[in-house]
Amino acid sequence: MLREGLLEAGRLILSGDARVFDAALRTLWVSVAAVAIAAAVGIPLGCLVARREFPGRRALILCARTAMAFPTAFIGILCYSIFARYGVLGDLKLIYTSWAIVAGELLLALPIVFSMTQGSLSGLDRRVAETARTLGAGPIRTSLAMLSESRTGVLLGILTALARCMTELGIAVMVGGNIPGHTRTLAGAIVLETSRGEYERGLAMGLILLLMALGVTGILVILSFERGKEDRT
Amino acid sequence: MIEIRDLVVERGRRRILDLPALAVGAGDRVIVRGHNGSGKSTLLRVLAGLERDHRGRVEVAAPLRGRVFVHQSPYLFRGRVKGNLHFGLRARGLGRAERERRLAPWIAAFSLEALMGRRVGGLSGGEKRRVALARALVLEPALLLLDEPFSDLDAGRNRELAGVLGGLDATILIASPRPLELGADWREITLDAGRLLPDPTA
Repeated sequence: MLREGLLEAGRLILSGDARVFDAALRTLWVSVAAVAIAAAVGIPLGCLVARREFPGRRALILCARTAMAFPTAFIGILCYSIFARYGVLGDLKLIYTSWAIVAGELLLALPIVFSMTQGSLSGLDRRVAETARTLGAGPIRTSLAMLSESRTGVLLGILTALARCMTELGIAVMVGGNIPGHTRTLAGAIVLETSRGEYERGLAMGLILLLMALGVTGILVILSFERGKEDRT
Repeated sequence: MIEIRDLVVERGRRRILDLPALAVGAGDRVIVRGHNGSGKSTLLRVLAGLERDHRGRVEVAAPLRGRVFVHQSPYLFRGRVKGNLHFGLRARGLGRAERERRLAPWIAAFSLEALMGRRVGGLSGGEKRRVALARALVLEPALLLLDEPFSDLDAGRNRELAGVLGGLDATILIASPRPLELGADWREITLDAGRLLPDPTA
């Protein structure tokens, strides 16, 4: 079956199957959008919490680390109750749209990006911040210097968040509805094909998902790693 | 330049520094002697504004940006030597041409020409030290605080650094466990277990 799956994957990619292509593209843009927003919020927040003492700091860190283990089905139900027609944000009419999936995946990605940023900055040599400050850097430049020094950990957080978002199923199905051509992601498609007995097709889509993960990871690693190798003193 | 009254630094129950009074005039050169754990690094860190958890009055007649501290084991940022040298000047918002102009004499003073394009990971201890010193001195601080700057330089480089320091206008404090032969305009104070020992020459 694995061999057939591989062959089917090759055939689907080469023939440019419209439904697979549509699901793959949606998977990609939805998770990239969710992780981009999570990074825009989570990285500065992680910096702040790593560098400042304030009441409730430990509780916040504990909550974020616990939230990393959220089952996606739980986030799915949570978002459903918020975005459903009679939910708190029902008026936004987001339920069964791709943006509802983005919102749910944001909840999935944010604790990961935040925790990994905060954790790697907290573990950083204290001379990094001190050197930046004594050389005249303000709070923002000092934070940027710290982020640059711990970029491996921060990048790992982004990659982990992307990996979870691209492969998650609970949110996409519950708030997206797994509607073909509208909200179906690759993970949703895999489940559907498998439930219809189309194991090879399901397997093929799984392989396409893996290939996409490889591509995204490769791009991120090339963008941020290549100049950083062996530079730590 | 520096007026200290009743300065106390504590870590938990341990008193690291206890200075009832210390004054350093503008342009003074001071060697802070003392064994490991005598509090000399802490004193320099307090003066640099890096140690905020202290009691007592510390007045320094230079803004934070006018004081530069160089760690006993300096930290160089990931990347190349050049980026490190530019860091402080960039933080001051200077353009590239101006940064290059200000750096040129210090690159020459510490013989860094050949190191400019090198990655910091491959530098020796002495090379890192010279980069860190140039990175600090190019900022022309009014107060220069050096924690054991001579520890990993060879004799020739030590003379080079002593010559450079002698030509500066800044107020300079150097922490050192060993006696340093820097010349007559340097005075020495000695710390022991956080307290100032009486000056034997007074």
